[in-house]
Amino acid sequence: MSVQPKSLTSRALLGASAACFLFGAGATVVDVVLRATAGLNLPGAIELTSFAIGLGALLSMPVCYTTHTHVTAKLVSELSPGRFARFLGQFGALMSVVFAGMLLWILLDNTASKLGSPETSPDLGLPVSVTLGVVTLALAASFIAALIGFRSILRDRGI
Amino acid sequence: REMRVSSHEPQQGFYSSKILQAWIDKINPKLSEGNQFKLYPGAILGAPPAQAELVKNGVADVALVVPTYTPGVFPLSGVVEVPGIASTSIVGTQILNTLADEGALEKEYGEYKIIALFTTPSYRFLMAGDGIRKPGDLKGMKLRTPSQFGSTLFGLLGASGVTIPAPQVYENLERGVVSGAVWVMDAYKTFRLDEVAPSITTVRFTAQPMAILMNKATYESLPEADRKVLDEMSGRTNAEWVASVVDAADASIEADFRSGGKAKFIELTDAEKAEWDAALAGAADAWVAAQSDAEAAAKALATARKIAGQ
Amino acid sequence: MSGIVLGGIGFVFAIAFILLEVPVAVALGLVGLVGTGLIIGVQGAVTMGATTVWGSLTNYTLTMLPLFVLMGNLAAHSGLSARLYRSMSVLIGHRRGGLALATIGASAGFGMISGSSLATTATMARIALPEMKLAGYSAPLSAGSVAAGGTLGILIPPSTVLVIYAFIAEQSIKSLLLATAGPIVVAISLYCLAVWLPIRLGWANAPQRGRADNAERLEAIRELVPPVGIFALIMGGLYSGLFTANETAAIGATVVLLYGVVSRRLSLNGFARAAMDTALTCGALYLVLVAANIFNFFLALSGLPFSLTAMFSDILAYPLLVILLMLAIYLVLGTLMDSLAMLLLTVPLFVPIAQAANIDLIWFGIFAVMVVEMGLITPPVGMNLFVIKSTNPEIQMMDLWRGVTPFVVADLVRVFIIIAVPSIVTWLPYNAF
Ligand code: NA
Ligand code: NA
Repeated sequence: MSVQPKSLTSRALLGASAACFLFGAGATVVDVVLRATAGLNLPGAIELTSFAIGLGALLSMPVCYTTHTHVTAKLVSELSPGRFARFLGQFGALMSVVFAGMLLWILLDNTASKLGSPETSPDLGLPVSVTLGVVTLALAASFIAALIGFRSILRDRGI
Repeated sequence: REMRVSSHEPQQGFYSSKILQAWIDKINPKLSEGNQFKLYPGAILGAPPAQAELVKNGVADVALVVPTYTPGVFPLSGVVEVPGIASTSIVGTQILNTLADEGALEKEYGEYKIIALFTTPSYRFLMAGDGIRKPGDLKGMKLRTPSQFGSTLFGLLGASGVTIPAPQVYENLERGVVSGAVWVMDAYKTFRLDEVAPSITTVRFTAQPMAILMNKATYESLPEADRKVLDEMSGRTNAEWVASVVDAADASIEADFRSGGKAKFIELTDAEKAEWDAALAGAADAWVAAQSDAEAAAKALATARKIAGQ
Repeated sequence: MSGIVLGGIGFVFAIAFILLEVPVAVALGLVGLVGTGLIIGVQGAVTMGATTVWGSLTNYTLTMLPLFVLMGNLAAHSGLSARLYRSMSVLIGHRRGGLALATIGASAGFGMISGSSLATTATMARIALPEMKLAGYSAPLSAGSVAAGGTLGILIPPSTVLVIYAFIAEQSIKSLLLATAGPIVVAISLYCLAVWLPIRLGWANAPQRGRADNAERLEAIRELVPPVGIFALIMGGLYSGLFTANETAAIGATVVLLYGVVSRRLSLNGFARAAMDTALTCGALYLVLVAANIFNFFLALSGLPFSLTAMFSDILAYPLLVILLMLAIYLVLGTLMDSLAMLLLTVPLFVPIAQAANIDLIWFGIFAVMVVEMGLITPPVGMNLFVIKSTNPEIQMMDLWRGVTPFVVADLVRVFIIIAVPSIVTWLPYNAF
């Protein structure tokens, strides 16, 4: 990847995200090894892996917003660089703020409705209000990151 | 308006085609032209565990809900998971509807208009290799579990439960991740499990509660004539119709497999049946102990046992 | 306003936003959320959004994606994939388009352990693109061969798409897996032709090197041992039944990590970079997946896909016409939609039609996988192209589109071949036992 974020926060988020992926891989490997050697299995291995990797994906999202490493079809600005690139970059970053804000609002609303609910995850028994709360916090970070990304593009500099 | 009926099953799936679509085909002609149901199959409207929430918040107007997919939300419905309680869908359905009539399920379904509360037929052991006869044969084995309580039941037998999403059960059986699954005949057929789990032990092990629920606001917004049609085609009578279809399908798929010769059915002697009963004797207490309201759970269990004739 | 009109307008808005360089995830997500809100109200859209975010993030099948990306990154930073490619270039680089051919072959090999085209593409993009660039290959040719090679990931077993088809259409997984054998041979042959022909015609640059001497060739073969060994270990475990496709991803990443540490070819810095790269790539990919699911929900709700298929009922007596019409619909949908979303939307509607028209459903499954696969590399929304773009941002979109054109043509030819000679698909599954 050509983009290597410099800020400490970005690096910490990416590091935590990668740690989640490695943890997910580790949980699965432990499950396989236990099965092959002792005929046992790690309880809730599938849910543990899914949750770890989902969290990893969430934690790296804010960095995508600040560094503008989204998946983007850069057609116009490549055909005619300089002329449209600046405007399109600002428009895209503004739309990103709107989208990140909507996702945050949606999760805030949904998590609020689940507060105090007895619902748990099927295997690990984690309360949904807690797991959804974690998702909401991560999406709040994404929203802040989208704002930072928008500001940086207005000032026309990378991070 | 078009009212959305959500199913996490594909259109060709048993519950989508034989229950939901059949119900829609029966009820639509009786409803006013402006208010018609339409099936949205294949989890288009959301993942299986999200169905209850989708219908509560009006994303779907009606949805097929599997209560055990969201542990803690429909606790007492799980009474039909206790081994031996729901031997057929008809019996399980009587239990759930009686509990509902008594008001025991008000906390669980009070926010919905109940279209049907029913259960699956009882789950049997679908095993790789030569299969099992006695509870002791399961010791140390890993099996695909239907629910949280399913794993508790496996624990009583010295086996352990592994959660596997339905479409991946075939692969996990093929690769020996699990030695078997407890499931119903329609899933056995749908997922071609006879290729990887050819031995069926006909212990009536557990069953799963099922619900077809309607958004209450949608129901209340309908004109009185339509609401009357819905009242006639919901509740206990409707659930009994569902249960009869479910039981008939289970029997006919079983008959096909028995005559097809691809699956081996293991019939148990009375002595072997007694061994199973003994091994699972603690199941009911384990279920009650796992509920947050133990008193209500014990009461629901007593009702269920009475209906099951125990 | 009727849902179908709204669906059409949403479709147009999504395309417009993407062309205006709004991030794909943002374009699909915004249109999906706003459109859903207009159809079923704000509360409905909020619930849909929340359950979709949760469902996508915790989807077990998708966990393969970061782990395969991690495996590829670790392999790349251990120099393993680079060595593999260097060896390949020594061994067949002197042939016309040798490295692009090696990309196709390596993608096919990787497809044997990856059930996902995106993971295959992501891994090969990291390994093959820098090597071909170094060798002086034109950007369109190298990007095209990686994008197209990646589509082999879902044709070659294990394949998540095939498993899902088997599930929806209630077809035998075993038969479907056997049915892929013939089409795989056709696919790889045609892709080789798609590499060779443009070079032959002088449209693409693929410098030929001199033939390496025997000492170099021997050294190159020696360097093939670790990657082939790791590959064989993973494959052996997978096919001997030691672990599942999902577990392959975790084991693969771990084995490559161990190889890097033990051989001392993975530095601490290299490890950190591999980990960070994986995180950044996967954050972007998951955002797109979440948003694609939201957009897909909106489309389904609008009824647009339903009305697209309503036209079929009158022509059931002409199976060829049914197939061609479905192909046309798939090609249009495939330009814009996620492969899995497309499959989930169309198969439940198309399978009964195919059945009514007496079309073999094993054959139809392979056909569906092939056309869905094409959607991954057709512009403007081709997920494989986006994966390449996100791993190698310096590649221009126009080059990507130009580069995949021969492969899209090869895909079309392949589809017409299996339409003309269906036994390429059906012979093996019906004669194997
Ligand atoms: Na594959
Ligand atoms: Na496409």
